[in-house]
Amino acid sequence: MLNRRKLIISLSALLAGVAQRGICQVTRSQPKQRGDFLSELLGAGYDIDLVGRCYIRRYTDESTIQALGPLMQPYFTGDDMKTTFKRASREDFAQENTVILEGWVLSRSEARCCAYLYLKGAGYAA
Amino acid sequence: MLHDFNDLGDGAALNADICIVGAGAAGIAMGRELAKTSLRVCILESGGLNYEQQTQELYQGVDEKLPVQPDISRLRFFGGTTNHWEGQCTPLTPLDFQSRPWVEDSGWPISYQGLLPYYQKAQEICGLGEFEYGQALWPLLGESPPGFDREKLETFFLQLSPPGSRLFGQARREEARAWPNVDVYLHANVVNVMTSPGNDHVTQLDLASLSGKRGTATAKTYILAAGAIANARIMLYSNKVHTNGVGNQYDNVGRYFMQHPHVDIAEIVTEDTRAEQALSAIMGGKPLPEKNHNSAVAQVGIRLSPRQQERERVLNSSLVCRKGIPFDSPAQLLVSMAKRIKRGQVPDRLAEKLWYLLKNTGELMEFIPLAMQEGIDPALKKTAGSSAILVQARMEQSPSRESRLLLSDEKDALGLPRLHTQWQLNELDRYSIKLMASKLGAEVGRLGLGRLRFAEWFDNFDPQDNSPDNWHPSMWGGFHHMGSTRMSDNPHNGVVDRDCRVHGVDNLFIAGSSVFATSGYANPTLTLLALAYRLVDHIKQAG
Repeated sequence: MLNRRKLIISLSALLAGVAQRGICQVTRSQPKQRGDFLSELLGAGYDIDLVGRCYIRRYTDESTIQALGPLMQPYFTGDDMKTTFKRASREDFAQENTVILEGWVLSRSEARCCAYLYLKGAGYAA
Repeated sequence: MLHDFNDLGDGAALNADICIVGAGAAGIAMGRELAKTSLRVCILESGGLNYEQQTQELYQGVDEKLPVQPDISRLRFFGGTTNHWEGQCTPLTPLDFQSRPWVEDSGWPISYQGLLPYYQKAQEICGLGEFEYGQALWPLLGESPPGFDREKLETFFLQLSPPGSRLFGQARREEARAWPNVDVYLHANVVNVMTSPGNDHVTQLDLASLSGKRGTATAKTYILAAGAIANARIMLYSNKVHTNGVGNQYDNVGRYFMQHPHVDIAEIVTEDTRAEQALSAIMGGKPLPEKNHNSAVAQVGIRLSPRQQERERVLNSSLVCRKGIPFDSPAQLLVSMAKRIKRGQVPDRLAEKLWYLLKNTGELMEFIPLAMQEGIDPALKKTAGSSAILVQARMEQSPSRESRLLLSDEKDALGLPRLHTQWQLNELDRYSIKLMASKLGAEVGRLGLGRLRFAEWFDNFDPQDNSPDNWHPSMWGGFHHMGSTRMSDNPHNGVVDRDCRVHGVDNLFIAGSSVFATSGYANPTLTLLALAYRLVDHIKQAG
């Protein structure tokens, strides 16, 4: 139940949240940055940085560039890497190889891509 | 013919071959059929021809667990709950009638095929055309299905009973006046079902009106058709011969009470106009041709394929899509936070949400004054828009003895015990919907339609958590009441047999959705009408 004490604590947390921005945020859908190869491959609406951060927290064995790199390599083979990646993502969905991060039902491949981008610090922070 | 019980002398003794309790969907359908015979029929209706507050208050009760809202979900006058029926019709599926090893107490003693002729008949009273709810309707609508992998997900259809037909009370009132052999008595409440000392034969119904009139009704055959909740309640409070009530020797009356949990669980965020166009095929309503289908409006739903249900050991739930307010609309967020605070709860992640609102004051500055002028819902629609594709779950509930209807210690204006509900859902119910949502998410991604995003509450939804707070406060049962006098050949887990006769009582039958053995996802009206017609046939054949 709400009481004065809880309300004060929550408002204090707001001030801390303003400074720290918390672990995961409620955010409006972020438009993809145009002209960026990797972002063009990903689905619509979700915050790449947020998804990536959540992915590496959950899948700690894939929480480094070194761990993710080899896993992502098969997505980018051949002459047309966009097509290869999209095929990999579609295959993930067909096999129900999905992850649910911040409510988004994503293919494993695209979630890995978000994690990779987040770790690379490619400037997708919201 | 229509009569008012209040106009009869005190102590009136009604007599007929068949006495039906309730003039709702089932009662009126049976009355129409029996009007074609030479049998003498009386139908006892608690209410009048129109809404009356005092009569409606007889429906009040206490919800102990999840909400049933018995005095809001039902209407108590001629036409019954069809007086606010939206008209959605769709049948149960063949799988719903089968015993499923992963669903305890599943299986009906009758088959889908056995009910099929009656489904076709039920279309007529609903103002609908041919009985067709499958893939054959797509070309008639000039649309294409979304391309789901049919090993996983299937589309199905609902048809809307047109306004002129769906309000049975208005649509059939003048017809009922002209029934020569069927007498409808308004304002006649059944306050007791009197049985023989062995509790195996109904001898009479004791009647009373709110104005104090008393009377009786006697017949060779009695049919309870007062709705799933009232059928059970009448049997429970008719306890002058046996303390458990009528037909309740194994304590099944009121148990296995089911509804269809309805709640928004997710939204589909689309990628492009192609995807939006593909998804538009599964939203809204579209008219069928006049020829063979009476121009009925068809709506699309999504369900798991039978193979997938068996493989995953889940229930036969469904999803429907519609345009609505995006989950992350600041105005919508403000409203949901305010509702939680009003209930005395601190919203989750309050700091983050407040920060989000501060960053998005534009929409709020538009919303707040509008809400003060026009109300919250109109203001939400105007400021937040309806740009999101929302996904609503309409779930099958598995039969469970623990979900039940009881009698309260409080009395109503007739001196009868009020209703006390203990509607509850179990882990299989919760797990089924979470799994189905994941399957939809995978298919949406595979088809390139976009991405499925769970609502925040649904993302945190724990199938193992039995507390009511696990559900979003907006979750409601669809006003679909089922199962409280369920059908089973085994009297140890059922109240009526395959002929809808009450176990152990030779002349008492039950019509309506209270006899459903399982709920499926289908709106119950079409099925309860089919069962009512089947019951009439059985009674006519039995002589």
